[in-house]
Amino acid sequence: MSEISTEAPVGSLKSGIVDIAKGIRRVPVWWTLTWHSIKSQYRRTYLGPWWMTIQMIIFVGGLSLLFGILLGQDLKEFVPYVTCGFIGFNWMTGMIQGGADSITGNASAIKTTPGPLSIYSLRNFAGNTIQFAHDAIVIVVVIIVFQVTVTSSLVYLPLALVAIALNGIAVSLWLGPLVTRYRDVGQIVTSIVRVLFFFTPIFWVATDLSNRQLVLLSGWNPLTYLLELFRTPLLGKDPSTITLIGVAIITVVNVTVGIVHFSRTRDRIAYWV
Amino acid sequence: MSTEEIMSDTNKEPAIELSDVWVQYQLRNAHHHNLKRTLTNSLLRRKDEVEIITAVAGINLTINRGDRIGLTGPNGSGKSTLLAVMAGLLTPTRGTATTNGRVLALLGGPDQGLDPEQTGRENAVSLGVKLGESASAMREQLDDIKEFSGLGGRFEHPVHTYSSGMQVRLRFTAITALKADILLVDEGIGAADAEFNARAEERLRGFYESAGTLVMASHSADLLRQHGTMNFSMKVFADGRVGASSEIT
Repeated sequence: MSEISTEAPVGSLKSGIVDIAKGIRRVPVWWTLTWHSIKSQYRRTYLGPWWMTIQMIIFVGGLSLLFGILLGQDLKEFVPYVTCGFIGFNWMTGMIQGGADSITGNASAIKTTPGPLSIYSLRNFAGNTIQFAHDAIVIVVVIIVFQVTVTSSLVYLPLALVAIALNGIAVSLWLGPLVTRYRDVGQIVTSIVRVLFFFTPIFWVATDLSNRQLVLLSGWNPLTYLLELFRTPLLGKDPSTITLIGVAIITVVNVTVGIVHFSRTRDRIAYWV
Repeated sequence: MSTEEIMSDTNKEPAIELSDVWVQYQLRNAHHHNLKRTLTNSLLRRKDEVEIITAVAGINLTINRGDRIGLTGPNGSGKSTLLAVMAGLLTPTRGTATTNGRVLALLGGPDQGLDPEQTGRENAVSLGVKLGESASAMREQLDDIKEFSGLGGRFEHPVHTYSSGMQVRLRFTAITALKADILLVDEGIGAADAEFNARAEERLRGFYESAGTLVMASHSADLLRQHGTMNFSMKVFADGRVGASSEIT
């Protein structure tokens, strides 16, 4: 008896990659399902998924006004800064928080519906990206209303979107199984995400601080770099070299950890849910 | 260890092959996650014993194409676990499980996989899509699904207005509308009425008569007899292990 493993054997890298490839090939599946579940979330409301856009307008409006006045900022620059910052931040943290719950939140489906398990990470990505697409309308409106100059820096935007998307999928690939095995991690994630709001430059402007303060406050935070890469092109500026290097390092590490951890735990997930 | 090797016909192609399949769970209690206890344990070099549940112990089983197998046995004897292994939901902790062909599984409760806010029609498409069918292929089947399920106008209503029997009708019809080589059914069809059950039985019969493989776990000897299954009975041993104990009958 003693030599019998009591958990499924550690999965090979290949089996994990095969699962992820199968998941990706089922794009229409997770995209359709996610859109259906978002629609049903807003069913019996008049405005449906447009509530996502409206909620974002109300929140960003309140946030910009409050901190703009409190910190004595010029609203013409501050409102677009906060709007782009918060919407990008919300997309990223939505994927972190949703990624943490991606396996435990689908426990009954995992126990009864055969299929690749990477689909749950991809659905989390799709759900948050649909939310982001609704929020992005607010960015476009703010850029027009506040007459933000659009420059050639905008070419960096697709890079930012791809980097955030890759990181979002990767984070749920490792965080989902980790939370399933160690439930306390889910609570830790919630606490960290909540406090990250203050340690990511969203409503305070990085250039207002000395380099030392900046590094202490947000230099350690991966979201800072991703958010900079997302926001600066929208506001007509090129991202700094440090931002580009930071994003490259974060993405490589995160994607590697995601693929390796998902592959190793894939066969055990059904035992942990 | 009690194992059975069943080779019903060596000329046939195997649909499912289980070779020395073990499924063991670790039951972790709150104290396995207690930080204080973990720290004192590591200081005192003490280890908390993890309780192990053996759900399936060393099963060998070959099911050929077109076979009809009934899994019988008391509660907790591992019938559903074995179905989960065959469906590819659980990787055995030891041994291997191989399936050849597309597997469909009717597992879980009547509302499993249904979104209460969506209509019957939308749920039928979603169910198929979740199981790997394309949305357009499912849409082509919708008229048949509506008719067979007998839901009529209720097919357009949200599922939260359905009775559990109506949920059974929708789920069974949508899942069995898909083409499959192997069908796994846990505890029969469910709480639908006699009229629907009769038609559902008929559909299952059509499925295995066209060389589909059926594995059905059930407590009901009548149900298994109706389908003329060869039965494989699972047993709980005195030491808590679970496995197969008798021949296919």
